[in-house]
Amino acid sequence: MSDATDKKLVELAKNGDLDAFAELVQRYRERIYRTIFRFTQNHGDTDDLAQETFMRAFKAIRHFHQKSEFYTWIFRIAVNQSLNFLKKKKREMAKEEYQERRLDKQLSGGSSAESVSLNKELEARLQDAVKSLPPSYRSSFVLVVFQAMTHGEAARVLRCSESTVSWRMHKARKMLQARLRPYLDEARNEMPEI
Amino acid sequence: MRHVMKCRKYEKWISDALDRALSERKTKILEDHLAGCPNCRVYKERLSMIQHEALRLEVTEVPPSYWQEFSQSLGKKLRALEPRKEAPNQFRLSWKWAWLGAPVLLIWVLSFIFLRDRVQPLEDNIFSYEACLDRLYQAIGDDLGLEENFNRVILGSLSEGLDFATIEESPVLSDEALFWEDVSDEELEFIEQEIKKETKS
Repeated sequence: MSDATDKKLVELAKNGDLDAFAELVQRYRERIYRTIFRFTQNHGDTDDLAQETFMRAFKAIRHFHQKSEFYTWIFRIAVNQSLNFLKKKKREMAKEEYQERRLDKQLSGGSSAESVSLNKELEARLQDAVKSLPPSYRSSFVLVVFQAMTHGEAARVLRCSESTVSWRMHKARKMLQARLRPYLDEARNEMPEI
Repeated sequence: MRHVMKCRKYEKWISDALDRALSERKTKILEDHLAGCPNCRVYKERLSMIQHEALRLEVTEVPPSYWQEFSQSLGKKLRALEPRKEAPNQFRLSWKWAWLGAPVLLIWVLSFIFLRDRVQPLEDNIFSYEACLDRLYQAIGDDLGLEENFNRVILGSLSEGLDFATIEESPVLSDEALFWEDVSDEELEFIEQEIKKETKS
């Protein structure tokens, strides 16, 4: 089973073969988990959403005609689930309160405010800034930067054109650098040459 | 102004270059531009730093035992789904053909609405004796010749159909002994009077 192609496993799973589907889960669970984690930033919600992603895929696999790769399809489900989750979360919590709590949580990682290094602060600010990106920019950023997808692969997952992904990445980076400029300029001298 | 417009284009190219999505030709042009544009160099440095930091953002590693639990938990949920897995298909199948049934049903309903007042029930129209006679009388109308012919043919056919021998042989009701048992005195008197009247005439 482990040497079968995704296509073959999908065909078997369509006929209700749970072992075949389990193999697909094993192949993609870590990547799906990491992607969802980039949106939720906590393991409890990530675990629920990852399971829900595979459940949805299994329920819908009979209608999956393999016009795209299985991994594109499952990533699409995962990203949609994550975005829906964030929408729901946003409704539950006022936006400012939500962001403040996040930032406090990240900054309180060390023992005191003094012990938080510049890079640590930049990291926390960056995480916050990524979270504040509009959903479509954030999805592109997560797939391209964190999942190392090409623009074409991300475009297939997000059902848009490559040039749209390219523009979204450009805009997302502009937003991030505008927001992080003070920290970036401060940290620039301390960073090794990239 | 033209310089700013140019730099905006290169900012986009810098982003594409970070994603390895810039063609070789454009990469060469970008490098030439960066060599002479300090603003774009700083911009590129900032973006590179963001990229570098983003890749360092941790996703806390999960222990291998987690994946075992994950698969077990998911497996349970999937197995629970299994008995119900055919149901949506059957439902889909029936709905797939429903669109074929819909026009048939529509035609049937429309026919019923339009024809209900025009068409008599079958039994009245074809098999009812009265309905047949009515239609015949309508057809005959004032045509005396036709009426005469009709009477001749119908009466002729009736006389052909009747078996007089059978009629003569059939027992007369009043010959039956039991016939008179349940007749009351008043009925007997009435019958007697009727017989007298008949014999007189």
